Amino acid sequence: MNTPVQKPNKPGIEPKPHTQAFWEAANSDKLLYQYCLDCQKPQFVPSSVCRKCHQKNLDWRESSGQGFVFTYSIIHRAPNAAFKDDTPYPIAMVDMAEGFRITANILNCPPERVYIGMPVRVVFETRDGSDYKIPQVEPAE
Amino acid sequence: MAKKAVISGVYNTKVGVLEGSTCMSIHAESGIGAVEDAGLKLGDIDGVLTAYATTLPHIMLGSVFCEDVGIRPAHLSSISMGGATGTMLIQEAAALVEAGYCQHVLCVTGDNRVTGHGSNVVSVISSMVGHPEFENPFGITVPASYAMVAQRYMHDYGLTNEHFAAAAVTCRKHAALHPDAHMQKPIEIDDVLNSKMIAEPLHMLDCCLISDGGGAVVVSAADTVPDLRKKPITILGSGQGHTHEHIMMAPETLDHFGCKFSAEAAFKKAGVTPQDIDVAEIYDCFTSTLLIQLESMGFYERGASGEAAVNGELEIGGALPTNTHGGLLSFGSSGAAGGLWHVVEAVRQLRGEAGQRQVKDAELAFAHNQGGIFSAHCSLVLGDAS
Repeated sequence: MNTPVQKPNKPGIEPKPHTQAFWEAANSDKLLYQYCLDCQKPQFVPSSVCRKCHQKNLDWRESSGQGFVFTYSIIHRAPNAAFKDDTPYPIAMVDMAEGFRITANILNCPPERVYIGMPVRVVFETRDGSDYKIPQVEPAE
Repeated sequence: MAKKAVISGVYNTKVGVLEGSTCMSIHAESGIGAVEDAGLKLGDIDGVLTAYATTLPHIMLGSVFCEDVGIRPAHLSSISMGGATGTMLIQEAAALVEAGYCQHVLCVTGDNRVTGHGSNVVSVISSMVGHPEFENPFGITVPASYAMVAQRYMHDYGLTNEHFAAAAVTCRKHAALHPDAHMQKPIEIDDVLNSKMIAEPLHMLDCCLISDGGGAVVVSAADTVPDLRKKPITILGSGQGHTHEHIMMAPETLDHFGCKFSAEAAFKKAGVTPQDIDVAEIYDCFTSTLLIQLESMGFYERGASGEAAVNGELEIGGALPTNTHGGLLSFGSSGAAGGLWHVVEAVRQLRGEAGQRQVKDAELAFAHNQGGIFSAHCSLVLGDAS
């Protein structure tokens, strides 16, 4: 008799006070980024203060969801059992059109097709065990 | 006038799989070993600095260590800055001595990451540095974080997998000459290229080891030199550089990190240039880390370190003998001890104690540690005081 092995869930999201709005928007398929009204610059990851002027005059803006792969890796050795079945999977740093950088997996894309400069767009992944959708990217071509 | 600080004692345990060891037994062997090497007694130590340990995640590791070995120092702290901690302990110890707080500061590190963590070690370490909301949900790993930097660096400056592999081969050659090294079996470039892929473009043999082991260094006031057993080594310059913690928050071109600033500061204080260095001991958690740092710190032009590695310039007898003990890639890697071993080796080279690994006429050494994902850096320039 084979006992099915329960695959552990991927890590869930535990929003902080200054990331709550980001994750709630993700559930509506919106990618938000912080914007300093004093510096007039975007920032990501979110913080309680602007990293340039250190003031708290921050607003949220919605991204177009368009970006380019700045760099990437194809992960063959997963960090834990929850990701093992996905290997090999791409992870990338993606520079968004509005001038901020996110980390994401590149979905709907064979690993060998990934390249530096590749245009991508944001998609939102629903995950078991997570109250929030996860912003990911897929090829835009 | 400020007192001068010298390195008076060094020690490393055997490195590898140390059955029956504990984090504290490794600390004890290391600390007592370095004090004896200096010609001192534990009772002479008036300052103790420790790092952190993943197998013993205590909020007061320094107190745990001092209690364990039975000493009550006048000054004690623990520094937790990942892989950068080793050289930072030396810099802090020198500052304590130069400011007159201490005569003899013991810097002691160690972990039993193999026997202590078992098969959990990869997930334990990976979960420590990724951003919990914006990196870890994507299955990031430490190797993948470094791999993304390597991928971009290859694209921008032309380094190749063969170049990275040559660094691994060099470190293994050096480790074969060190009786305490974790891995000594010779490897060739093809062995690296054919080893299991971990996170493209990094193969398993591009990655540092996971080891049990410890190391310690004693930093003393120069006016205690008559009490010391070994040739004192002077800390000629030191510096730090910090730009981020999570790699997605690094300076955006991913080609200049805190090592540029830490090395510049250390060279400036010492009044020397990278070209003056006889032996370099540089943090090599991955082969790519070593080559990128060599270029960022001014030892080579952008894109030139790869050919240098292939041509044997980093070997003992080459233009810039590097990681002469085998580095994290082959001597071993055990938390903060991994970086401290770079300092231990630099001191042995400058004392002329390196045996088969001895770099001829080594008078000026450079030691560099980094922690996180190119996040925190601390560089030292060390010289023969006599």
